[in-house]
Order: sequence, then structure tokens, then C-alpha cells
Amino acid sequence: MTALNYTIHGHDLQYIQVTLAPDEQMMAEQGAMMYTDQAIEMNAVLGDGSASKFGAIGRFVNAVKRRFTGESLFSSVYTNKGFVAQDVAVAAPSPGQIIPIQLQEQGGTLICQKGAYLAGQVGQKITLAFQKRIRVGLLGGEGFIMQKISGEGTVFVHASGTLKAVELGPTDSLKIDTGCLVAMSSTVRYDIKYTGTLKTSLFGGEGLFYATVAGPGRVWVQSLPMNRLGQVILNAAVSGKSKGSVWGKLYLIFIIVVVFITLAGK
Amino acid sequence: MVHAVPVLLFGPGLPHAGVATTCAINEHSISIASHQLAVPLSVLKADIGGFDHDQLQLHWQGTAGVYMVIAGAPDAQKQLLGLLPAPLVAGLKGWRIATFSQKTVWNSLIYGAGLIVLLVCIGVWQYDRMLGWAANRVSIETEQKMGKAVLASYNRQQDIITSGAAVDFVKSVGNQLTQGSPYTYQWLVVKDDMVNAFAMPGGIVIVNTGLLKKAGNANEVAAVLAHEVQHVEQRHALKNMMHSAGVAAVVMLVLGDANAAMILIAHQVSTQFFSRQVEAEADLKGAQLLLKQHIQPNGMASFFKRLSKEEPKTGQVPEWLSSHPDTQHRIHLAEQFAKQHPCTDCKSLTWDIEAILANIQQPVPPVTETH
Repeated sequence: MTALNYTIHGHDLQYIQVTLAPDEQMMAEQGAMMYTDQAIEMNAVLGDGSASKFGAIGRFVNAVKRRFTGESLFSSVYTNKGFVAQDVAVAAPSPGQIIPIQLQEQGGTLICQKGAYLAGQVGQKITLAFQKRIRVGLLGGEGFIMQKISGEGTVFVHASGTLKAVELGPTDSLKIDTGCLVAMSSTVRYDIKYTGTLKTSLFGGEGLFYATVAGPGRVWVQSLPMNRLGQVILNAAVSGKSKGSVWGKLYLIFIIVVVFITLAGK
Repeated sequence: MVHAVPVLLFGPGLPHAGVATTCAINEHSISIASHQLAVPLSVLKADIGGFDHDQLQLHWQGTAGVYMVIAGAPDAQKQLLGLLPAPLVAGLKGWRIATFSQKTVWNSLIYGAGLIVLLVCIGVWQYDRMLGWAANRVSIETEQKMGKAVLASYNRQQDIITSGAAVDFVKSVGNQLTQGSPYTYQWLVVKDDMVNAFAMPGGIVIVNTGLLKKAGNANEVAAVLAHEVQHVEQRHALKNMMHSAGVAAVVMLVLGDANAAMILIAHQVSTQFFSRQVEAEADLKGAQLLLKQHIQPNGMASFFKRLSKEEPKTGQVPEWLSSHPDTQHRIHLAEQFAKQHPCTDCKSLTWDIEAILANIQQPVPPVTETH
């Protein structure tokens, strides 16, 4: 598979400009298109467009599973129907960085945080990677569901903040703040560890746990997770107001207590 | 014996994504011919790796640095595990235990969740039986105490007719219906023109004079009394309370953060549903009781027909909001029951309507407070 010919433009609000040769294709997540040249044809495909041995139903189930990884049910395939090279521009959905990753260099499989996939070559599969370790799923900051991108060629991954790639040797490991892990190769071991002391966990501001990643492999870390950015903006925009009301609950508790008293009062 | 297993080799000077090669394993050592490496099994260490924590990593300290081998093909890990003698490789036993326990945790979680779902299903399916069981834990004395408390709050002592033909009639029919009951019944006739009768827990049955006036014959009164008796016998007040508390707990758990009005409506609607079920049960069991006592069971249908003739059609609440089933539906069910259970030796009750009317039209003598 020939690698994509692309340029990434911008600093914090980036887009990728991919130049497609005649008949060349690329895939991008729904709604990410910024502009395309005249001869580019856009096609919506179910899921990642890959076939399933269960036919149409299997494809639909795969698309629904893919939906849980933060992608939409459909994705768009761009084909150059012209006779000269044409451009497709795909924009990142939020402030952050787009990084190109060559899947072959990662052993063909990449594990990403939810919704990290932005665009890539046709034929790549985006599937659901389920975190089987309960404490990692609960406390690791990435949840139980991550994205597994497998296949060949270039894939564009997007995450908020500035992204940093770290190379890990067989004995190397890295401590990461929970929620800051963007992607890793499939050989990397992802775990959580207690911060160590009560004082640090209470006053350190980093929470009770941090994530650790151990080699061999490569990991990508982000400087500002989206939910943290959202929290800052939300706090600046409105003062928190709790919804719901305590009266309904009091009413129910009152009913339960009355019944118990009546039945117990012999 | 030598086996070649496809593996990925990591180490100093090798690409970070590893090099695909093969290794050979014999009883004492592991060797990778492509990189001129031969390592005794005793220096190997097994570790857990990979995203799913099910990958076998074998690493060792070489002269240039740490080397690592992981399976390079889908079934290569099984081959590795089969070939490596567990006691020789440090950490291999621990690896097996850790991967096994991870599987066990998930299996127990899945089966546990399945069990809970099953229990909830059984609970919903056998709800009546469970509620009956819980209600039977409460003694009759407790119920009678509850009934007394309700009667005290009813606060109509001055309107209770204590003697006369009406009271005697209600008592005699009631006593006939409640032969052999564990409850001690108290039959009260209250001067009130509303057509109504109701039961309090523990065996207190109140009949309004309005009902006696409206009823066309004694069978109709007997049907109403049988209905109320069944409310007592089936411990409906108790079950209603327990159901209400249960619903309150469930609503609190499910709705959690909803506002007060939502919670109130949810609670109300689900308790009303239960109340309609209870009324239907009392209708059915009441008719069965009449049959058992050889009283014509057609009283319920004819009484409801009489009522619905005068009932204005407008302004009715929809059935799902009401505490009682739809009247037309109740008539239909009662007639169906009478048709399905023809009673040849059933008697029609008789009453002295003049005496009863004379009794209930008398002004109630003022109650003298006694302390």
C-alpha cells in the first residue's frame, strides 16, 4: 500500500491536506471534511467499510461496536475520480494536534483513546478494544473502551493538547497522569499505580492513581485532555448548579420509614 | 527436540517495534539463530504484557542490555507456553495464575450479573407470592393495631349507627361471610350519603348508609361486603403498604436525581397500578366467597350497573390513573364469573328494607363522652 501524500497545516487547530493520485482513496470520520477538489467523490460507508463473514448484519454489528469507540456509525471514503492529483482537507474536531502514524512501524496494531481516529487509508479497521483489567478500566482515566486501529499504511490520530511520542525499550516504563494517554502500540503494557503516599494522593493534585505504561513499544501522550479543557471552560462559563431536588427523595424515604415503623411497632 | 516458534525480538540496537524472527527451545535453553543468541532457561524471566494483559513476555539481561521475546504469531504463545518448563523459568507460574485470575474475575462478574438479572426477573414474575410471604410475616395483632389506628384517624365516631335493623343486617350477612376466619370482624354502619364501603386492616369494615339506600337488594350488599372481606382476608392494606415502600425504594434507585414532581408521579402511578390489581383480586375472590356461602354471586354486576346508570360519563379519570379498575370492565368480569359458575342451590338473601331505611334515617343520638 502506497503511503498517503499529506501535509498537516496549522498549530493548535489543525487540518490535514491529503493529495490523492487518480483513483486513490482515503477514509475519514464523518463530518471531518473541510474541503475537497472538484473531482473528489465522497461516499458514506457503514462502519469502516470492511467486510464481515456474517454479511450485512455483521457489518452493522461491527459499525455499532465501532460507535462505542467514539466514532460515528458511518465513515466517509474519498475517491479521486479525476485524471490529475486532487486534494482533500480534513480538519480536527477540537483544538489539539493531529499526528500521522505508520501502522507497520507499530506492528500493525495501535490502541488509541476513544474517538482518536480522524482519517486514514482505506482498509484499516477500527474496532473496539475492551479493557479487561477492572481497576485499569475504572481508574485508568481512559475507561473500559478504547479504539484498536489495525491494518497498514498511514493513520491520522487526533487528540487535544500537544502530543508527545515516547519510545519505550523492553525495560522502560513511564508514569502518566490518568487520562493523558492517547495511543500506544499493542505490545505496551498499560496499568495503574497508587501514587504512593496519602499526602501525595490527597494534596498532590494528581488524584489517587497514575497510569503506567511499560515497554516495549511506543506511546503518545497528550498535554491537555479534552475533559480537563472542558472543565476549565465550563467553570469559567457558568457557576455550577445542581439539578434535581431533595423533596422527592425525602417523600420516598418518609414512606419507607413509616412502613417500617408501622410494621416494627408491635 | 527443537521447535521453531515465530517470535518478536526486542533489544539493544533493534527497532522499537521488534524484529520478527524464530526461536528454538530445547530443555535447557532458548536460541535465536538469526541474532546469534542462546540463553539458558534459568536466566529467563516471564512477565505479563500487552493491552489485554495476556501476553507472555520473556526477557533476560544480555551483555549489551535487556532483550525481550514475545510471541510473533496468533498461536505462537501457546507453543511457547507448551515448550517452556514452568519450574525453570522464573515468573512463569505467576504469569499463569495472573492470567487465569483475570479470566475468573470476568467470568464471575458476568455470571453474577446474569444471576442478578435472573433474580430480578423471578422477583417480578413471582411478585405476588413474595409480597404474600412478606405480609404473612406480620402478625394479625399488628394488623389489628394498625386498623384501630386508622379507625381513630377516620374521626367519624359521632356518625356511627350502633344499633337497629341496618346494623343487624350488615352484621348477619358479614358474619355469614366470615365464618372460620382468623380475623375478628367489626361491622360499622356510618351515616354518610356517599355510596361507599371500605375495609381497614385487621377486620374493621365500614358501610356507608348511602350504599344501603342505593342497593336494590340484599345480594348486592352481600357482594360489596364479600369484596371488602377479601380485602381483609388477603391482607391488601398490608401488601399495599409494603408495595408502596418497595416502589419508593426502586423509584429512588432508578430516578435518583429527578425532581420531586417526577418522583411523586412515578410513585403514584405504580402504586395505583397495584391498587387496581388488588381491587380485581378482591372482586374475584369475593365472588368465590359468595359461591362458597351459597349466596347468588350476581350482586356485584347488578350493583355496578345500577351505579353506572347514574354515574356521569364526563370527567372520568383515565383507568391507568385511577385506583379502581374501569367499572364497565368490572361488570363484564362479574357477569362472566356468574355465567361460568352457575349456582343451582344458591339462595337469594332477603332483607327488610323498610326497617333498614327507618333505622338509617333516624338521627344519630349524640355521643356522650365517657372517660
